[in-house]
Amino acid sequence: MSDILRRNRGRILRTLESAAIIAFGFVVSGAIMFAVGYDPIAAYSAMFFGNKERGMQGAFGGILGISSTLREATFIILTGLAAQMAFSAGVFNIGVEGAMYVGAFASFLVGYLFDAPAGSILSIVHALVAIVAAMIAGLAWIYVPAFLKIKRGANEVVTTIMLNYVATYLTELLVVKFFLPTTGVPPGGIITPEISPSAMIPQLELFGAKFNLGIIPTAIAAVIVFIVVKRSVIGYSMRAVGASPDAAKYGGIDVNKVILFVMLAGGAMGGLAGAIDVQFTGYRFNQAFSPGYGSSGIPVALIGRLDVVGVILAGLFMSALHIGAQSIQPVTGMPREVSSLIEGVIVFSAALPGAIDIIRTYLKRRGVKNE
Amino acid sequence: MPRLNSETHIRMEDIQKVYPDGVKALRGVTVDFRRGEVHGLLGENGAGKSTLMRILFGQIRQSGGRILIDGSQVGFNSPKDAIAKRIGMVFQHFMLVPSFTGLENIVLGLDVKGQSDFQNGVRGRALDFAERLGLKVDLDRVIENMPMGERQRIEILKLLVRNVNLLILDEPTSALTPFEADELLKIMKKLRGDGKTIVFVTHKLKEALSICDRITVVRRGLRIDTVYAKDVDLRALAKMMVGKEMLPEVRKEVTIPGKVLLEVRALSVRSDTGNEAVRNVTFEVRAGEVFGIAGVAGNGQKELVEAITGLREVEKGEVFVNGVKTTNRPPKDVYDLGLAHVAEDRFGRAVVPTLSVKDNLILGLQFKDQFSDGLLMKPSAVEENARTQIRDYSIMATEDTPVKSLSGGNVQRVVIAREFSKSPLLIVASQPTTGLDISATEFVRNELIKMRGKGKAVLLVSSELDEVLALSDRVAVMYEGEFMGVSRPEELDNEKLGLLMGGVKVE
Repeated sequence: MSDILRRNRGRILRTLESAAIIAFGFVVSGAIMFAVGYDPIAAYSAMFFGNKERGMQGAFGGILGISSTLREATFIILTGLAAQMAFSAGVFNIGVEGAMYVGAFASFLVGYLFDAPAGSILSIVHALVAIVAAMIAGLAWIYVPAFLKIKRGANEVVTTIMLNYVATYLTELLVVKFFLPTTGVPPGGIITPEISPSAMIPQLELFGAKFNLGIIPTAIAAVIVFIVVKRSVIGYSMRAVGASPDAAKYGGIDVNKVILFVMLAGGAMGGLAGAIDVQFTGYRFNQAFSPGYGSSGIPVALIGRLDVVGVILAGLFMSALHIGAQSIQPVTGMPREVSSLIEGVIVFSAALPGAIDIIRTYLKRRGVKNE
Repeated sequence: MPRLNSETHIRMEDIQKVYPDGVKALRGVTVDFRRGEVHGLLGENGAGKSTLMRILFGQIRQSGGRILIDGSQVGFNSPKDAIAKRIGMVFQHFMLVPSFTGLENIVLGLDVKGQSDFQNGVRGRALDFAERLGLKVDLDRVIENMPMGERQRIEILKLLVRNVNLLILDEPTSALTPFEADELLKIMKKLRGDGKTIVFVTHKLKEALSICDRITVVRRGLRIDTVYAKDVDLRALAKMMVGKEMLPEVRKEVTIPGKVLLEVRALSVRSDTGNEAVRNVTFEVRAGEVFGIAGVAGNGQKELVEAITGLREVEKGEVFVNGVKTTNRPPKDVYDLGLAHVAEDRFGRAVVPTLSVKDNLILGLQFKDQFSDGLLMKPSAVEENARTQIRDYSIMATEDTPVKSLSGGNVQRVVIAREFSKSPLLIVASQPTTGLDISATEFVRNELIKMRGKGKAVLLVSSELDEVLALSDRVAVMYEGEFMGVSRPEELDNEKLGLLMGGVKVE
């Protein structure tokens, strides 16, 4: 027992540290709410457990709340895993959002342009091909900044952020140009027609709520990432490159190959997240489908302290905060701005220890290079 | 002639330091520094001398004990406080801005109010000191164009301009050529003549004896003794420092050099800054032979080693390992031909500091069948390997300890264990004993000799002359990127070596 404690000392300490700072975030947010004249206890209770009289379920206060929390968690766990892989190799891949848009559009195209008889093997193939197409599209999208980084030394933060804009506006342009004429402008915004039923993955109806099955591919992705990071040769190489590129090179590791790998893997996971929206959730491409899932991956990876289990917990936590915050206003009358502020303060403080770790490693790496 | 003064300038009383990880670096050290003396602080690496001086300079705080200046107690929160009390320190690695001139570096951090007038005022004072103390400097030269000796003189001027009257010099001769080191010793004498107190932190016995008035020896966080330099000799000091007699001689078996395992032909390599660091170097190393490269660090040894081991691009020339051309091949290919590399930059290159001992023990071996199937690692093999190596090489750590929390000697054991476990044909060892204590040094040297006895080829690059002479079968001296000649060690003595290292050809 004491041996287990000792071996996991670092992990236990990190968990306690994160828990303490999250608690601190809640206290600070509570103080802010109190200062502007609202009852923090009531607000937190509404956030997590809802309020029956007002018909709000918060993050966990009812089946609808839970299904929403899980749905959103699916996306940000995926983007969080993508960010985690990049960070652990010392790469700042901010381009998962773009990969997700491109992936979603690819998934839509394959889903829309082809059809297969319902219930046949072909329909399963159709759905799978659409998912794979989304992942390949996301991967190919990220190949551009990865290539520029490796061959030309272009800073990936800058290129991936710029490409995010390209991806969102490009897909918008494609929808407006080719699909709005057939759908008209529906009240849902800039959206395409539905995909063929054979590419749709049905949602699970349980106790009157719809559960998104995207949780299955996400779980598979988490297991794969776990094995890659903890058990594989490339995972070992990632950790070495992340901590010290010079030492990695000395250890016979092809540093560029590792950078390429983590970026492409992140692109594929972004693409998968896109497919989950199209094929598992909305059954069409909606230009406004992401409230920033891609960028949420970064705090999720940081809150999860670059650990797969941590990222899963952090994804659930952030999703709960986000879904829960929507119940605060109807229950307490607190303005939406304040509840967003609260959410921001908590996420910020929760991500702080992880961010400090990253900054510390990054400075150390630069220090080594400059010597 | 040393002017012996008994007035205590600074007293450090019962100083203790326990680091957060529980390491007791100092266990109650009391030492007096007298006004106007050169006081040697002698000890091996890890003895606690740097810790003691960093406390005196306000960089870290003591866990116990007190500091008295002229009898009154002081407490420092930062080096700024120490400088205000006229205590200054020149670090082993200079703290200068490379792209600034000497004067700009001296001015940096002073309260600048009248800009150019101010700079000129400082210039006047700096030149004043420089002239009086014979410090040859060009204040308008950019630091990166200065030789090490001049950079150090700028550091000293920086302190003098700040009215420091106690100067701590931390291993000040380690980066200097023998000639520059002599110059420095002269400067120290003049500073003493000027009434400054100097604490000379060193592990070099001869230097300590030649310049110091008194010498305090520390070992394992304890003060062993403070003695007058005139009362002791080298042997006595060495005995105090290491706690046992002298280094045992390295015993070399007779080997007959065999096949050429490393061949370097007309190699030229550029440094990071684009200078030609290695110029047209040719040599070969045979099985059962140690080929030593001596020279002051920074004369192209690092670039030469990196080019041979696949870490740096070759500009011109060729490298062959075991008969196969490896010019500009990546490290992995070179390793596959049987090369092992004990890298010079231990924490920056030879290990990944944040990874555990067991992970570091397979760095460069992760592709091997023993530890992976090409895709997945074999954790039990990695663990097993770590347990074996920790036992065989007496590494003082568990498999899961991150390497960054190990001492320098232990890290080197990890590196040696790993590189030797590759069962190499050719070992390139670069500054393998720098910063190690005596027992670790002895260990590393014996391991290298063992490999030679087993018919391996060893390329040893070291700025420790005794080491190169004791271990090598043939020695080349490197100066400004070129070999000054290759000789047998018995043909060389310290004087000849010193001349070669200083760029003077001898026949």
